[in-house]
Amino acid sequence: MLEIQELTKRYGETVAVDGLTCTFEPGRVTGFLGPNGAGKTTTMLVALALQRATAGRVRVNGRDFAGCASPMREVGALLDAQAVHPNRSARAHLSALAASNRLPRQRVAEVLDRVGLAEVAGRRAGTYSLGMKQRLGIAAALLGDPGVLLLDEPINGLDPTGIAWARGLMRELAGEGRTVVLSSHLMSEMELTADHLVVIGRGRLIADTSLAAFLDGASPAELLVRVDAVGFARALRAAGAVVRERPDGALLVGGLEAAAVGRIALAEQVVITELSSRRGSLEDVFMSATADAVEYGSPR
Amino acid sequence: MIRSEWIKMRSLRSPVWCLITLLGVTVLFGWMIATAQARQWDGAQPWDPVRAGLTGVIVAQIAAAVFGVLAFTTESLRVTVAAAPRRARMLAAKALLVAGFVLVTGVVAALFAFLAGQAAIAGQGVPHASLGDPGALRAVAGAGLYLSAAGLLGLAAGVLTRSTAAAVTSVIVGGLLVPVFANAMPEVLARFVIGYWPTAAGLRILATTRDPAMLDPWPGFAVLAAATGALLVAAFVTFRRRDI
Repeated sequence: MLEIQELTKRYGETVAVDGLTCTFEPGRVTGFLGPNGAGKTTTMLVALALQRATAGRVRVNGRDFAGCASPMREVGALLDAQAVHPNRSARAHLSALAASNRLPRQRVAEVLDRVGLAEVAGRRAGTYSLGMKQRLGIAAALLGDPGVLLLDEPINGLDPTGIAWARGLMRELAGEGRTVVLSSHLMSEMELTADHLVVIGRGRLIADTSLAAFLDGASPAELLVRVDAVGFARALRAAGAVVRERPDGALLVGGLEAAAVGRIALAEQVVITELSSRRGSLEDVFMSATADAVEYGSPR
Repeated sequence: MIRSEWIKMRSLRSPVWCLITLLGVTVLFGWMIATAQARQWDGAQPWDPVRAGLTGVIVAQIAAAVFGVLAFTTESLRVTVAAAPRRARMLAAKALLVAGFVLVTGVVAALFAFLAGQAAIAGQGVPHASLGDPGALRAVAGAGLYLSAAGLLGLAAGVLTRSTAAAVTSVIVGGLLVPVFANAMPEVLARFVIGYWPTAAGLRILATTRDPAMLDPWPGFAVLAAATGALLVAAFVTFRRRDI
């Protein structure tokens, strides 16, 4: 459990996080989303006591992180996969971290195994691909077998197999009752991995809700309808629907249930060749929810 | 914590190279300078063969300082401090390892330099010293202590500047160039720098003859130790507080 309470962080005049309050619950993967500059990384840095909060606080399992005796057993973090000395081997990197928390030595071999780096553990980290460095970063986060995992962009640079593996791992870790906080810009991936979302923009909370509710709430569902006759759009509009015609002839229908469309088709004696509901993708919903909070964007 | 720092240090090649350089430079420059000074000695000026044989320490202090700088600047701070948020303990472990490794390497280097230097001096038929002479062992051990202090100054500079280049530059300027260019300074300043500038005063630990214009060996070294301590305290205070 990770609780952010009234957190504010300023760098000089810039307000990076602005009175943020939210709770990351155990047993689920929480997607931590926001446009660039929204304050996600800053929130994580303060949570890890790397930076001082201007106001408010962060509590890990009900306590202050800075006071933990064996911090890696409480929180495992991956902030920047590139933050490994290029001339140091993965094994030495992990061994040094394990020693700083008095973790048993066999943990190093265990996590190397779990992330699939056991065979290359003796190689200099500088020779690793970005995907391998991400795996090493995840291994470091898992080293202390912590209850809370903070992962900032952990799937950047992973290949499709790696992404599928990472997705499975996150689900597994949440299934073991851990708090998994996952920040990413890859919305399609987030849609497959996260149960819950915390969305922030300009340092403030925009949404703290389940993935399903976020998707439902923000965009009215549309139906995609294809029929074998022309002029059906007029009949739908007459029934009060909002209809957009696609160049390929399909109709995007808002404001009507599928059953109502079926009844109109029956009345008009038209054969429906395709009828499906189109949910807004997480990407669409995210962009509309954070449109006002984008710091660096092209003008619309 | 110390074990963790030890793993970090031994898993890179640069610390080893720093210590090898330190050893080589101390011996080589000690031998060269001892040879040159013995050749130029006219028999009239005060002659300190021990000091002459250990002069390589002045150059080797750069290697010691770089060793200290790298102990901090090669660190992936966000990773290690997130794993161990008690920052003072990490820095203390680093300081202990830097001081210890440089001390041991420095004493060994000074011992070799002493033997090579005195052999070179004897070869020129000029009075030379042996390890049993008064002050000789203190000078050899003192060379290790001096280099150890240089390593800690490097560590403090690394913490304070957060940059390898800036830290190494400040150590070279502050440790080496300021005393070298003392004679080009206004007289009051020159007298102060020659007598009391920490790295200049600290070098008195290598001397076995008295010089009325300079501090005695241990008071001289005390000035260096105090300056090193002050910079280390500054490093601890800033490192504990700052955002990383």
